[in-house]
Amino acid sequence: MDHYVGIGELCVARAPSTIVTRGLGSCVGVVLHDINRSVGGLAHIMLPSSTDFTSYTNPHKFADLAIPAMHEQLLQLGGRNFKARIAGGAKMFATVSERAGFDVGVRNVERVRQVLRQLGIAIVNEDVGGSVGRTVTFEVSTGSVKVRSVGRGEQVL
Amino acid sequence: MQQVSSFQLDVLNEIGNIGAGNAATALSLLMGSPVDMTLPWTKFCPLEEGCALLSRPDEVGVGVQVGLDGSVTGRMLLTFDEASALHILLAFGDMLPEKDLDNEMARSALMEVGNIVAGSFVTALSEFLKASAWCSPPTLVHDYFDAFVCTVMVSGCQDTDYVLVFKTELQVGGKVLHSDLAFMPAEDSFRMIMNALGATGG
Repeated sequence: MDHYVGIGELCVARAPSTIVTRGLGSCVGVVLHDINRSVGGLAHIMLPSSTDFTSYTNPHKFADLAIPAMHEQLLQLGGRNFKARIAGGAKMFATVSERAGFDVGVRNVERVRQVLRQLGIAIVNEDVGGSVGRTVTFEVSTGSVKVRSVGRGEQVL
Repeated sequence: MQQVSSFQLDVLNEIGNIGAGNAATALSLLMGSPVDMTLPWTKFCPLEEGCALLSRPDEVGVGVQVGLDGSVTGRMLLTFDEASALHILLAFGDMLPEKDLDNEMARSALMEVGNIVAGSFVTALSEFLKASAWCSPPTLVHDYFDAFVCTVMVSGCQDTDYVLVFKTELQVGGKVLHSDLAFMPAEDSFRMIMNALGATGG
């Protein structure tokens, strides 16, 4: 069964299934996987922190809310020990006009690492930064995470 | 999320159309080809919905991002699919020896198109607001649509959770191109614009 995760969405599933998210730029795709219990999830995170906003419509676009929410849903699916793989967080435009200190890709990756650390989940592999867009395909049964980029082909995390 | 009335959106759309008309005139002169540009409607929507409106899953395209500065701060993004971007390069004729999306001069030409569109929009807006605003130099990316669309919208939405999307109809040399225009004003600029546009009516 194939699941597609839109921008600012997340999805959890049991094996056998494939979860895909397309077109990660500064956004970060976070995969959590419990290989022994064959459950996994993928979140497409847009922004580091919900606390930067006074109001918002969708909590799952923020690293600080989406990852704990996905973790909780995976626990309910029967998962216990998770490993993380992350991809994205690129700087798509080489621009001089970027406000100092604001590179949303870098901030997204930093916040994702912090939230995973707080949950005690190790990142076993990653493909972050650079200036390329990425599409992520996650196979729940094996834990394989394929990252496809324009002009750079595919790599497996 | 802010409340915006359909009246305010109509006025903003009208301002956008003044900008689009001026952009078309400037682009025709630049390229030496007839150019027509209109913005049939303007939509005010949350970030994700804005990304979804401009989304083209798995498709590679070109985006030109322009920063706005002065009394109105924020960003604009003009997108083209690859065929449309190539058609624009062809419209430049002999001015561009290499019609390749990764050629430096070709990229500059597309950035200039983005600059003209954003500049015309900002001029129309600042005339309406009786304030001065200008564009910072454009940047271009050639990659997955979803990757750069979302990146620009997210970066433009540092203090807001919504974007303005202008449905764009662009014709160059009689051919209809696939192009979109989005505007991400900073929160304070957005308030100023909406106040100037008149009563919200809810």
